Amino acid sequence: MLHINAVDSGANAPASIKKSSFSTIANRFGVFLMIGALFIVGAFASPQFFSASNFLNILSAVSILGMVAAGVAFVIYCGKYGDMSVPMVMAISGVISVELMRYGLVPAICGAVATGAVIGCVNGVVIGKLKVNAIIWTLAMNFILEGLVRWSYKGEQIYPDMATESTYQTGFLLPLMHSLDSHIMEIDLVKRAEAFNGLAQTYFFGRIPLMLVVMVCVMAACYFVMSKTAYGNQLKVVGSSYDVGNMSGIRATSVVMGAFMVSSICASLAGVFITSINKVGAFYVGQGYDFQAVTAIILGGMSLAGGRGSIIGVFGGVFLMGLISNILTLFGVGTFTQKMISGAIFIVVVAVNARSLRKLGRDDA
Amino acid sequence: MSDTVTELGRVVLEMRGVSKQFPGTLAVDNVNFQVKAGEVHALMGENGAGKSTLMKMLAGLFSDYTGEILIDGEPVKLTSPMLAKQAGVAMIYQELSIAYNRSVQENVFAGQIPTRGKVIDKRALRDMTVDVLRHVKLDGKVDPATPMKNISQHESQLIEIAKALKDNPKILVMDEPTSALSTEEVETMFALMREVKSKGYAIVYISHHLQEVFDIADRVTVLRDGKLIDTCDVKDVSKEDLVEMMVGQKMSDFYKRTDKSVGDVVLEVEGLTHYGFVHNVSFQLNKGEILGLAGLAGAGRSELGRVIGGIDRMDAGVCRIGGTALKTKDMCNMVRHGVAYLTENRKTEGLNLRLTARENIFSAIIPKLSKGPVYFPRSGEAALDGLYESLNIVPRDKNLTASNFSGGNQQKVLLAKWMATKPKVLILDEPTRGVDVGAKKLIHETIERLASEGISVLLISSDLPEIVSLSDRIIVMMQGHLIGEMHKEDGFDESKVLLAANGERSVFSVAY
Amino acid sequence: MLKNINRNNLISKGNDNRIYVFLAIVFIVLAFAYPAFFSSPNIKALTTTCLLPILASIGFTYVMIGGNFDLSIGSVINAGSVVCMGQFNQFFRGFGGDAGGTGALVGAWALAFVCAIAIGVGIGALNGFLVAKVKVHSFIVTIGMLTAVSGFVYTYSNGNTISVNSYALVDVIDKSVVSLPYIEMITPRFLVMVAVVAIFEFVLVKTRWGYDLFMVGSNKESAFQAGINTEKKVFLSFVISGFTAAISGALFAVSMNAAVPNYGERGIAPLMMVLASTIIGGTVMTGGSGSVVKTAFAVLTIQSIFNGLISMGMGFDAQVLSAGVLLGAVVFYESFSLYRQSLRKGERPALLKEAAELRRGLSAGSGT
Repeated sequence: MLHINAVDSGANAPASIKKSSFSTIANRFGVFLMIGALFIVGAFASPQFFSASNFLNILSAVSILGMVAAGVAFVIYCGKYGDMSVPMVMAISGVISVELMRYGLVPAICGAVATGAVIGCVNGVVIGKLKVNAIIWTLAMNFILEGLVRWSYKGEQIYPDMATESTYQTGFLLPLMHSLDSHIMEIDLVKRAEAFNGLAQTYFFGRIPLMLVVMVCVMAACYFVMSKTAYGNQLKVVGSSYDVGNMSGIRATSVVMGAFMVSSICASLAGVFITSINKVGAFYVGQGYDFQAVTAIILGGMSLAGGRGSIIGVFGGVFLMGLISNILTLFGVGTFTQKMISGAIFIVVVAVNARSLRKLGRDDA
Repeated sequence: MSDTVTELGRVVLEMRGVSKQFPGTLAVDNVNFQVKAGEVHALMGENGAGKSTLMKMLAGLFSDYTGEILIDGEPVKLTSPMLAKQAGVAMIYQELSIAYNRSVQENVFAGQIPTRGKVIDKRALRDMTVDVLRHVKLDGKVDPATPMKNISQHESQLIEIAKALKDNPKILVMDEPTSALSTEEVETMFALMREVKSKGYAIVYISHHLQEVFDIADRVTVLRDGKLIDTCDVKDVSKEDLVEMMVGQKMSDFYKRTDKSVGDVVLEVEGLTHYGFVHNVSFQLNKGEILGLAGLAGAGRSELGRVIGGIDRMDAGVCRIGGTALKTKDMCNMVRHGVAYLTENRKTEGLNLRLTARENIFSAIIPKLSKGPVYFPRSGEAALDGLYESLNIVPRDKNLTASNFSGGNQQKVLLAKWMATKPKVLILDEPTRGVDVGAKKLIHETIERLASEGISVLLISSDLPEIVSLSDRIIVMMQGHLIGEMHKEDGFDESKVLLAANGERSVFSVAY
Repeated sequence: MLKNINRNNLISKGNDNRIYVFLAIVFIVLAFAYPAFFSSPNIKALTTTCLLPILASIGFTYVMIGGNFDLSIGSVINAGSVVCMGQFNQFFRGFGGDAGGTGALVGAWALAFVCAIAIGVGIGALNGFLVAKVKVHSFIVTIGMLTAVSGFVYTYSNGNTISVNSYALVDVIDKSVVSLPYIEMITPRFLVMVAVVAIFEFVLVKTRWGYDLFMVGSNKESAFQAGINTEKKVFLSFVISGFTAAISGALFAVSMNAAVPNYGERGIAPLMMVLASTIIGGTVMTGGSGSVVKTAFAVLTIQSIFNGLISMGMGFDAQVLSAGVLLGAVVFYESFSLYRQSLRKGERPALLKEAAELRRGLSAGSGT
């Protein structure tokens, strides 16, 4: 049995203490039990399953998702259900990094991250202060950003190596950059574009992709922030109960704002990489990552009720999603059917978990 | 609805030797209680005297009470709210269950909307609602189609009464219906109650307002410590008699506070105003002093505490700690300057029931336990051990989820959370509500010890023995205003405090 | 006091009916900015674009009134359209194809629609069961359903566009009933839409079932105490959502003569259209208040704005931006007024009056 939501008991009777510690274990490691089960299945699926290259494949395939999920996990940990603005944060960061990459990689990435931080800040202020339903607000934000990106580019995509005069008529910063810097046309774009597109093709030791390393670093940083810092612990208090957090001398609004900023910043990083993979900045690059991130996080044992779960679980959830898709591919199942199956697994797991929680008398799914 | 429900003067409700046991206490102890048709029967007693338990029993919220309940002479078993409703008991709680988005008529007839065929009969609904509202004289004043969110609190209460009358109950139970009302509104409410009782309904009226009891009630029953003290006609008793019956002759000696000198002014509040809640309140709190803040429900005591604690905004006035004026409406800042506010709502605002005791106790001092951004909970472990020791929190398991503690130990954990912040000023809002005797004693001893260590305590409490025995000085609030101050050297006891809270000016040392 | 209540009433009534004000403003502006807006062909084009979102948003409004969300709506629309087209092709072949004549056509279309609706209702029922009975948060349930159903849609269609060769039905349902200017937009498909809106609005405001649903969304606890079966209401609201989403997808596919598995992915996402019009139309985000007709008018308002933008030569980009900004502004306004309200909870009016008098006295005093 996989327990997703509860780390510990909400029941009153001391008799349930023992039960709850069992559920703690089942919950904390539930996703890894599932991974273990899939290892066994995988072993039957193909002899190549247990090879280093296959595992690298699995991890590389989910490295973008991993970056996004690590950030969104903060929002869910904070008790705010989800950040639906993630797809457009990815897109907008992508196009901004493409615009800025003519000044080099570092400004490109910094610009993208700064954009994400600003968006997260707006989300956080509105949701934290006004207590808007986070899903509705972030969905609205997503639509606004989608409109902005598509409008600024007149619905066009932006290629890193595009350097005609007309390129500088559209976009967020390009017209401004063009008017400020008359030499901008002289920058060797082809070389810069190569460097930018090369982000996704950089490998360590010839086989470990840079993206994967970044994902692991993001996960590690998020783990540290969530578990080991003052902020992370305040987030836990606010996430489990906003009112209590607010009445414990914690600036709850700022804490919520921080969570949304982390989410957007992580999405920005993911946006830079996915743009580099696609070699094109466009409004649709992040599509589906909002849903996938929530799926991975919930599978990883985080509770929608907030303040429960850990980044390690989220990593497990992300890995699990990669594993499912990998094994289904090994069995020759098409991508479309894979999507259907992973959706179904998600629903079943959530339902079973909610039911078992209710049987324990804890209705906090 | 017939004009006269029951012949006036007949006994409608009789509770014979009813008892209710809670773990650790006998909340209601062999009580006999009778209510007649056409009377307003006041039920009085201090907090914890068993009034609410008795009424909850009547509302069908307990399935394991002992004794007999007779309605109209028929023995009934009120083991569920549904059964109680069918038997003719209507409860009007302070916390109203209102669907604010919907109109008055939909709220009144929720689940019973009249239809003609399959279609809603809007005219019938409107007419029926106007009929129902006529009982509370709101017909013509309130359009049945008005959304509830646009109705004032006073009128919502009247509508709630109308809703209860609609089902033709025999007994109407009103729990502190006037605590949030202005004087005129109280008058309207009383006029309504007089009319309702004249139609033959029996009204049980729970209140702490002595004057109101004399204004409206015909008979009064006093409970103390779960036992029935007496039932008598209101015209036969005086205020002082009632107070004595409620308070008793007991000496509150088991936590007698030793007299001691207090130091300089620590907290100075001047002209504090929170529009609509607290008005122009000024007082001073000295080092090592326990200042009691008394008042009836709805007097604005908690609201005052919340403003000083930095939770609610301060619209006007100054709040100084050690001479420096502080920016309130920032609890973080207030905590840093040594003000701690312990909430009265332990389960919703005080403790994070799903987190462990350790996490709860550390939740207010996370920045203090951190070096830079990194959090070191271990650095607080010694202090935690000390708090566990001094408050005797049981069980000792610091990783136990807060919800698994008993009420008393939860309260101790909450107190520990605020003690951990090492406050200069500790605002305690109902620190012993809903806790067992042992925990209560320990909390009282702790409060005393803290005061002797130099912490200033503002004690907000409805528990009269508690406030009387612990306080060095008592200030009293009424309807959002500070109305007076009572000094220990002038002598105060429970009766005087109760009278003071009811606005009796003669008992004050300093009246404002 | 009474005056105050009247003012509050006016404000809330105005806010409830804000969509009509929006619509009037949009119409007036467009009448000046875009003279051809009120031309007959444009009205027809405008109405046609409204049909899919109006039908789909009916169920969404129901779910939101009940206090939940249905994020799976986009997938269900796609499911309705691909299943309808795919099944028609199969049934039509089964009935002998063109050789089967009119009978085969009618039979195949009828069965195809039944299948599409069955899929929608089935998905809605599963959503409803998980939310109402198993008590999983509707956000989680429908997010999972969205993934699963979109997987199903791609699997069913193999990721391709499914088109049909018969134009018979589209000729019927999109043919004007009376070919006169200004009423030529009245097609059978339009009538179906009007009928469905009318039926569901009727259920909502004229039957006890609708009133009970409002009560459930507004205050679940007091609805339960009033003896209303809250679980059943929530369950059925999801079923209705599946039903209307599927039927809107199917009708849309018929008029396009083809079904795509990813409608709106490159244009305007159906979820956005539906969410924006439901909220702009005045459905309260926390449930308990709303109207199908107002949602429909909100769709009309948004589509009119789009129509005007297109006339100015702007594409999807400007449309998405305008709808997004409008949605954001409404959500912000609603939450802000709720926030203001929450600050005033429990205050004593008598004290407020006193404070006001005091302030007046002070300002008069300082004035002299």
